[in-house]
Amino acid sequence: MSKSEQDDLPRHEGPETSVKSEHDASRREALLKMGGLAASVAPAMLVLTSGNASAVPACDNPAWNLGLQRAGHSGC
Amino acid sequence: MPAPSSSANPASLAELVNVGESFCLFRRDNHALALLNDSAATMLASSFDGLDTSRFEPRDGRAHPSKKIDGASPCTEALMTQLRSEGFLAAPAPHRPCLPLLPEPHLGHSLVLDEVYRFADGPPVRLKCVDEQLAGLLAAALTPLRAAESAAHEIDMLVSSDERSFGVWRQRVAIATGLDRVTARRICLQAMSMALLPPDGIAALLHASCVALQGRALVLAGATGSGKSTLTMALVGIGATYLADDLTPLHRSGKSVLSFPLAASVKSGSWSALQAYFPELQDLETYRVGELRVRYVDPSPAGSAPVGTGNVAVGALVFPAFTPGDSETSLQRLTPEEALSLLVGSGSEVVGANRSIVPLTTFLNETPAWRLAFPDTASGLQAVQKIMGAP
Repeated sequence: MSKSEQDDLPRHEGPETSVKSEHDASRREALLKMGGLAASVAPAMLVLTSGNASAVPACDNPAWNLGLQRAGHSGC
Repeated sequence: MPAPSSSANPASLAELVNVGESFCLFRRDNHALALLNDSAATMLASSFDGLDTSRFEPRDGRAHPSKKIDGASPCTEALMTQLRSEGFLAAPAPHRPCLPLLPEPHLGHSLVLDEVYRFADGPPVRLKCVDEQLAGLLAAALTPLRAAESAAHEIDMLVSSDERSFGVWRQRVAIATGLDRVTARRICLQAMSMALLPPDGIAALLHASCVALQGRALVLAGATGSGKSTLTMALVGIGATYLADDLTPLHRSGKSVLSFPLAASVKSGSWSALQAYFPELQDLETYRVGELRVRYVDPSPAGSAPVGTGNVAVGALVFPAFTPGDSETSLQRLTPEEALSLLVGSGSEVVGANRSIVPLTTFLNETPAWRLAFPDTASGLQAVQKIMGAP
């Protein structure tokens, strides 16, 4: 049984929800695993999701309440 | 640890919340999310306008420092630069009304799917779709929730298409447009979950499958192709209660999940492994999505498997990884920070009218999380049963 055969339906992940690259994923995992973030004395931050890719207007569109705006643009 | 609550200040622009040994900063409007250490969190707590710190407790018990960030430290400058560049400090967008789009977006197309769906005591939802292939996928997934034909509906959903793309609409207002077919399927099912389930009860939609073992929910989360649906259905096959496949709603308490029993999508690579549990698999219609072949299994008909309803307290969170080349099963405990990173990285999202990260961090702080690498279904089953303390 190959792994590709087991794939779920392919899903489009927005750039801000997907891991940008294997390098980023490895760096993130290493930092978390070693406890480097919590242990650092200097201010340290690890961004999991950028806010730039989803410029969310505050509007009455119920779509924004669904958290779905990353998949496309709204009708407003 | 801050007490779990869904009553975080909805007026705040962002939240600072404890998670594991670290903290997370979450912007409600643009979903920006970061993990911070104690030093960064303490600094931000006193300098970030509109930051809700009611769920923030510094590790060393210090009161929030009174002085503002002076920008003198290179570390502080670097932190602020990163916050700015990643959208954490952006001004809130101005509010603007959203009007329904006219004319009817499916004008000129004939409807291929026109069904009413309902789950438990939620509102009936009418779903219409103009694309034949997409209609087949949606209808197959939503089969367990199909209502009587005569049911009056309260919410209208529509999947439209033009020559190039698809759009998903709710009450004639666009949720998303410009989608490919596969994305439209995902968005539509997410939107259907939000329409069918109690709107105030859901705090996050987890990209996860879920079963109940001995009254506690086992959440199998993670990336596409990890084997979570296969493990879920194998567990159902040996008596676990089916709760959800691929889309698991997290209750606002952060302590339980809601059942949302869509038909489970079983990919061709899993058909042989699951055939013993679901003999009907071989007779089900096959749907093609790109290179993939999928069959949808409804575990509920004829009482073949129990299906849960309502809230189920969470017992464990597992990120499976199907590794057919390995000879042994590997089980590794994850920190809440690691689990948060994996959840967000694989498509789980905070939702709700007053989006708050608190239920999700409550879930992660109080739920043991594991990474499970398994070479075959039997090994995976054994491992998750051990995690849940099942006999």
